[in-house]
Amino acid sequence: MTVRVRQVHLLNVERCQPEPAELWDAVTEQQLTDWENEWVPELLKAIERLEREGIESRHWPQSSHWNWRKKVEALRGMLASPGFSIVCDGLTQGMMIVDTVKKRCRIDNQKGKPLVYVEFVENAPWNRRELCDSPRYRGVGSILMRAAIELSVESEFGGRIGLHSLSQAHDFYAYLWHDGPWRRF
Amino acid sequence: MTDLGADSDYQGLRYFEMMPEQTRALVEKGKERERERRDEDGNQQGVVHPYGAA
Repeated sequence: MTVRVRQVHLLNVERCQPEPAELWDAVTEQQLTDWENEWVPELLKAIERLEREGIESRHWPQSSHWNWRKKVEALRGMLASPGFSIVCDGLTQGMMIVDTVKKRCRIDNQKGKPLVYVEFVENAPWNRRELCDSPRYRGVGSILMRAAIELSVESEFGGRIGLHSLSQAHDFYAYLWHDGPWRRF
Repeated sequence: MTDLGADSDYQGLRYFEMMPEQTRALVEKGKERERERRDEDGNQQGVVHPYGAA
């Protein structure tokens, strides 16, 4: 399997400086190993902390039950379901799986036209403000959204993308267009 | 993105779409940001633009 790697930059929050990162057009065994060995333990620690602090479970990460290995294995070899990942500092910082076939636009003036549908997208636990006081990197979600848009353009879908959002991510998607989270990264 | 509201066929999750005019502006803005970051990083040699040639 050939993986196309493009250089991007994330914001290193602690140093307040850009840091070179890689955008891969795949979710590989390396990402799944990082998910199992790094993401899951970190997520469990964060949930334990939220529980200790008396935070109601409805405020816990809604993606915590996602099993990336199962998702990727179920879609392996399906050309219509490509994956993307971001690697920085030797670790996977974000992953995304999209679909290029199943969904169509719903918005009135584009109704029925093809689009890239974002099936799953997740940031590493250490980059999520709701899980840690000092996130390591910013920019992961925005770069993955841009990758979906770029795929939509390459697929001649005009840049159209769509997704269902977990409620904890509403603000991110609602303001993506309005120079909100995009402002800095 | 445009919020099309809760989708009863999808566990009530809200559905968002981004249209061509929005995505063009976003990608352009992203390219501009990436150039800024690349310049700031000072690592311009051998850098492949993240989304191909501008």
